[in-house]
Amino acid sequence: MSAFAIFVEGQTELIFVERLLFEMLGYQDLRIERETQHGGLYHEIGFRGAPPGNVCHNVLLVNCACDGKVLSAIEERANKLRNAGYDRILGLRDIYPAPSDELEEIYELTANRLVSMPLPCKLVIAVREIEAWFIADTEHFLRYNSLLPSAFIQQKIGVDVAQRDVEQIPHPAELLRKIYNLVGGTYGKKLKEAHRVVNILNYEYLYLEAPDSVPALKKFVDELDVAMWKSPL
Amino acid sequence: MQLKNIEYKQYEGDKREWTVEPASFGKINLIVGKNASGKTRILNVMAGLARILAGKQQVLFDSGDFKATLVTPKGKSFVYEISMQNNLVNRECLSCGDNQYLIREGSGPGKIKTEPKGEMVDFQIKPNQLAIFLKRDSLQYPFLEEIAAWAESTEHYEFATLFGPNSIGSPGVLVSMDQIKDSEKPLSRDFKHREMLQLLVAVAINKFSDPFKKSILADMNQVGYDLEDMGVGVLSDIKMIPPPFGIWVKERDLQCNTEQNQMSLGMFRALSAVIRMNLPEFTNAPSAVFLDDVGEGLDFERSVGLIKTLIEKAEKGGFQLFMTSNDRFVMNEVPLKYWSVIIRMGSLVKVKNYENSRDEFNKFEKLGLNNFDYFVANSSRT
Repeated sequence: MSAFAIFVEGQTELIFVERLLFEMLGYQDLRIERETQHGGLYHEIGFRGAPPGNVCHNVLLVNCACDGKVLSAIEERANKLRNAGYDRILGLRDIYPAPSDELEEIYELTANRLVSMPLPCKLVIAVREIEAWFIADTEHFLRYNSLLPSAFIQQKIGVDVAQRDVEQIPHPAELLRKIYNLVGGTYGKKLKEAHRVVNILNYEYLYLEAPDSVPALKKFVDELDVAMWKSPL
Repeated sequence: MQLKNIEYKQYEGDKREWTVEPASFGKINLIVGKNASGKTRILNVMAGLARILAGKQQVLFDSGDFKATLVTPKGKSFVYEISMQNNLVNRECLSCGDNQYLIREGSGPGKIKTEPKGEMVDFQIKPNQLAIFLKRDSLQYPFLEEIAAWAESTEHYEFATLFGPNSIGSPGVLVSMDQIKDSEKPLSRDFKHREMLQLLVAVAINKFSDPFKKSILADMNQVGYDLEDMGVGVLSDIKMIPPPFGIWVKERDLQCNTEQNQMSLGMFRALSAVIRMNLPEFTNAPSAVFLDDVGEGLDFERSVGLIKTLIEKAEKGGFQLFMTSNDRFVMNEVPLKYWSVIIRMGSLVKVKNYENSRDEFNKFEKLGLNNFDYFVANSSRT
């Protein structure tokens, strides 16, 4: 049995991570309690999955909602979470709009702070934006709209999504918006737009194959494995 | 003109000694620090300097050594130094680079540069008077005019006290129709009743009509108050003769007006701040606004909304903004590049900001922590 907390930056990350966990573990063995931060306070926004009791994995999923930064939230809550029986904390943030070449320095600075936490804490940086991971599942564009094969996207906006290193995309959310725009769709911060994308992603691919070519995603799923099974699979 | 640097010393060698190490400031500044660290005091030092330069303070300070750098829009840096003791001037000096514009020591005669010849000529004034104010002459000493204009155009408010209903809404403070009709006088900074917000609003509505009201309502909306109208009128539930005037607002979800004595303290402070920050767009813009304890008494959403509005107003209005706060919501909302952290070690006050600690600020920002965490880590070195 595991009990761990995941702190994410926004609602897109929250619904993506929630779906990823359920795809990995199923609804019988997992219970996710969700919270969102507003004005420095954490509000419960309901639970998903198995009822409380004999579940294998209890996850607290916290949306820091932009104005509450992930690292601050982890530092603020670490003691209480340890006292409440959680054995690990995982954070997920991005660095947009800061340049990617600062990534290693940020990892180092962050690790130096997290080492003093009262329970194991790790923070994963989805490099530019989490939407880069969505783009890595290039087949999802066809599931979004059958008129969106990679060749068509390349022809229209000059980007070969199949070949591109997604971590090098400067503004992944904007690229996603441009691609969906080709067929009259859009992508922004609205919940329904995030749900639409998250619902058509191939999680088997994102968990098993995409990490080979997307280092940040590999770090994240490895940390999830450690949190659930105490070691990477 | 912008106040770029300030350095201050008071009661040197005395138990009461208090020193502010040289500190630089930008266009928008949030001064943060723990209680009793000296936030308000440093704001008072800057506002006090403006007051004496503008001749608004009749009696000089008992003790105080100022060194201030004022930069003109063309980038010319004037350094003004004044040393006062027992309400008398010990030394007064104005320079720009290597050029001396004004110098006087003790009670002896001073020298001032005349334009356009550039000669230093002698002058003698009383030691309880400031030459920079007394020698104003736009033909002979035009450089003094620029500095005086800056000083006269500063405004100093205490969000938590002066913005309270008691300061402006006391029933004894009445507004006459003559004052409202004489629209120029109350809007000028020298007007002695300028602190009476209801008078300012009445005059501004009378003079600028709907655009002024719409601007206030739009800003209040951004702060988080859904208002559909506002104005000034008789306060209906204060029975006095003659009846007192006050501000009222119409909240969209209420059927009646909310008069200023019925407003929550938070709403009133926010409304006061918004009104004062809107006036520059319609009248003459201030050079600098000193706003103490901003956000005090407001909830999270209103604090955040107010800060956004104030920064927008300062950027749009072109004035320098100095705010103090130790409010977590305010701190998290204001970018670190605008921060000045006050660190007091006994009687010595240091200011840490982007100007002198850029690398440290940048490194912190990379961590992705709340700004408030920087305050927690850096404000405790007392």
